[in-house]
Amino acid sequence: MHRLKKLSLPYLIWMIVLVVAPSILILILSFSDLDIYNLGSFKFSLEHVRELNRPEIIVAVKNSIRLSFYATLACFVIGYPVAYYLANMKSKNKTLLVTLLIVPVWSNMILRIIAWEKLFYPKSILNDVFNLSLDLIGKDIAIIIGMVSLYLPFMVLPIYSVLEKMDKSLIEASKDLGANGFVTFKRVILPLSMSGVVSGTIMTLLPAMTAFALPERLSRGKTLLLGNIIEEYFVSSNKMNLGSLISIMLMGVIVIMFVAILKFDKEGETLI
Amino acid sequence: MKKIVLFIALLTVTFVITGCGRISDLNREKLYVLNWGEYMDEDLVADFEDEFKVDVIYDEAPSNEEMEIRIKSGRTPYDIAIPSDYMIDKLRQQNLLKEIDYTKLSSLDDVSIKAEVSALYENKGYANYLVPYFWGTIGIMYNLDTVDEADLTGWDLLFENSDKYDAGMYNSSRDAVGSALLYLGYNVNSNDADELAEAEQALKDGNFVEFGEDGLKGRVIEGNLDMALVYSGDYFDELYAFEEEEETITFGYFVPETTNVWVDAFVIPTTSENTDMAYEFINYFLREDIAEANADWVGYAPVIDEVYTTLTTGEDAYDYDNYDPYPVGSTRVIYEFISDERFDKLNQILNAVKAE
Amino acid sequence: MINNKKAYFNKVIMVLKKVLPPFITIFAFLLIYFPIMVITLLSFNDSKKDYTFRGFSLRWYREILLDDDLFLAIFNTLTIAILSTIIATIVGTITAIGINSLTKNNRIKMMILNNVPVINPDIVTGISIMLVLGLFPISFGMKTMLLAHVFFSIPFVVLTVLPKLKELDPNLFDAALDLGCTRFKAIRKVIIPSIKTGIIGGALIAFTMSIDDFVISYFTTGPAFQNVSIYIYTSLGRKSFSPAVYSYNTLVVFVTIFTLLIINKFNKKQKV
Repeated sequence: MHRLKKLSLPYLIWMIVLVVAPSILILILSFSDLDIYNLGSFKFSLEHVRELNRPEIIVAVKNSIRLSFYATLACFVIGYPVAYYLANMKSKNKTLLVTLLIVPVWSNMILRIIAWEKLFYPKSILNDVFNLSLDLIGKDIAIIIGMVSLYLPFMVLPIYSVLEKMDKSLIEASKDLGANGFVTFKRVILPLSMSGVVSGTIMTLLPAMTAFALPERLSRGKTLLLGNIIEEYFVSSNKMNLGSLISIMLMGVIVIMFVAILKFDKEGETLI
Repeated sequence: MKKIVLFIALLTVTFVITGCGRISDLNREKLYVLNWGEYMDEDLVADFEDEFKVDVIYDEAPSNEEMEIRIKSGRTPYDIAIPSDYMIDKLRQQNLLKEIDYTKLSSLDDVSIKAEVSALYENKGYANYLVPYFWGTIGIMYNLDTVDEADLTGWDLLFENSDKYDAGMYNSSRDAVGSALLYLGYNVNSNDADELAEAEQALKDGNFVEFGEDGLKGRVIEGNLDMALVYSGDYFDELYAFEEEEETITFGYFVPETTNVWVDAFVIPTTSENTDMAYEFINYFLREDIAEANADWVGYAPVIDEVYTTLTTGEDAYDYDNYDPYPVGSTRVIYEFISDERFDKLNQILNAVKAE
Repeated sequence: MINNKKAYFNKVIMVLKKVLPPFITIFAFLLIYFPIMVITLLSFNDSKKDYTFRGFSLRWYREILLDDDLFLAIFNTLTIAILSTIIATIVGTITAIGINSLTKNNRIKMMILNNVPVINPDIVTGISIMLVLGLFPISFGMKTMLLAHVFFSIPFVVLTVLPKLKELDPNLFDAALDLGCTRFKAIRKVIIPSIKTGIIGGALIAFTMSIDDFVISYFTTGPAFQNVSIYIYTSLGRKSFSPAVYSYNTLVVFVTIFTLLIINKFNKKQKV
């Protein structure tokens, strides 16, 4: 089958143009005064690195870490039991239920964010229909609920996949050897499901950290996350170089996370 | 064999679909226009296309900054853009605008721009680079049911009532800091560090519960905000919508005695390739009948004297308190573009206020 | 005494184990579906104001066809989704076949490149493409959005097809060649059928990613070319926002659920 390897060549070129080139461009932007609209001479400088201590960036980093952490934690605490329950279900409709869990992902994300936004205001459609008024808009909890609602399927699915394929005989063996349910879970099931947990965590944490439409709408415009800052720098306040630097650092953090995971998951078929 | 056929079919489908737009472009000239959303009667644009046998490629941007980015990036060779005063100033300073040859605008023989409008920018560097389009004010939109009329005294309504009312601030650093400077009695274009620090404090003390843009007016109407800083255009959009649906109007618009007036105007960017047609476009919208129809459609105050008079007299007159952006006896100030550093400072102030 | 307490404790745990997972699962479903339910409610609201409920009406369902901007946005969304899925699936499959034939080191390098769009936050991908495409003298619009969608979809196709390729017996391909097939015929008759589920899975993921995309589309679109997400985000709060978009979303969700139920019934019948 080695003769087929040339089939991957076009893709290599495509990716070099669309991945490597922009990365180099962003690197240059981050560490120089290159004006993206006036591509001419530029000087390298670390000025933007010094700008990183702008209060708004520090606040955004704190917000991103805090909110994505809580949202991911909530997704895990809710998602793992759900995945476990569904994986061990003996119903013929098991796959249907799991698929139903994902269906909302196919509906428009912006619309779902807006639906939550409308619900969290004190004066909302809930007043008329359910005699209810939720005054959570602007508060952190609103952002977390919104994130969980949006990202929970991404946590459940990988864990479910792993649990479903798990060799049930291992559990039986554990029980045969005298372990009770709790110990079996702790020593057998949980470790084996780790790769699913890790996948789920990544697929929840990353979008949560870098979201911008969701925090903007659910925080009444007050809570800025890294995504909002990057968007602002690129769209409204014309600080593309600083925005590029933040993007690069974000990418760096993610790469480090992945390398750490690969080391942890030695057989790691997760992404390679 | 089957594979080749499939491949060709796929290619053809792709080309057809992506080429679909080309059918109309075959022979006509193109004119690229960049404007705000819902800011020009499409029927009038269509009539222009018919009269001059051009295709108007109409693009919308939600902010001055985005307009600037699109013009600068050169991706689209805009012939016409309609930014606001300070952005016109900034674009001109960056040599991105063509100077306007007013002699090419024959409509100006029959109509004239209101003196109050020209007075706003006449001594400024960008005076010869624009043809005004619409103008208006910034002010405070408030919920009639919850806000006490006695409180409508001035900018203090917005800045000093956080324990009484839930107030929203526009998510525009220039307008947010500008309104704070107006509240403090300072120059709206001030670049004095102390004055800006005071403005920042005033904004923080204002305890604004929401920062938004188009959404603010809806919140005031719903009752999820008691008041918010808005553009006069926001208010009038809702006013007309309610009148059309014959609904009771539950909101009002208060303009403090000294406020910022905005002027949106036609400019011709240097990217323009079809400049002659650009002049025709501006000229067209300066025609009295067209300007009147457009002003009627958009709903904001026209800049043309004759049109303004027509619309504000007679039977279906526009007879609203705040329709005239510059009533006699009031004080109006216009934004200028000072520098990128100042704009950066304004942005930092707004972000600091949000973080509280 | 101690034994009683322990037995009681165990009994509580037993009950919790039985009751908690289904409860959490129902709660999870509610959390995920809540915005959808609200959107459905709003789609039948006989009023443009979405904070009061005026009564039932189907007017917004009719409006989907009547509101030009919305209809165009829907058309654009579907066009881009279908085209990008077709292109990404074909290119992705061919590329995966190529990658599978590479030596281990080269394969890992290709996969690293491949996974960059997958792990990069939307906003960084969107901005990267915008920056790089901005260097070329092309105008932004449908073609650039299509390119961006193809760009972020291909990696997912590769990730879904590759595992299936690995399961394939490499000797089958060589055997086909020995029996006189050209390489194309061998691919078509031997490889493709065995990886069919991978291809379909990849196509499904590509479609899903495209149909709901907001951030990347936002940065790579041009004059007057909107997809549904951009339509919603930019027209929210303005006169041009039509509640018909709630109806569109409701239709999408229910048609999808309905289709899944039918497929499920069909599968069950097959098994019997």
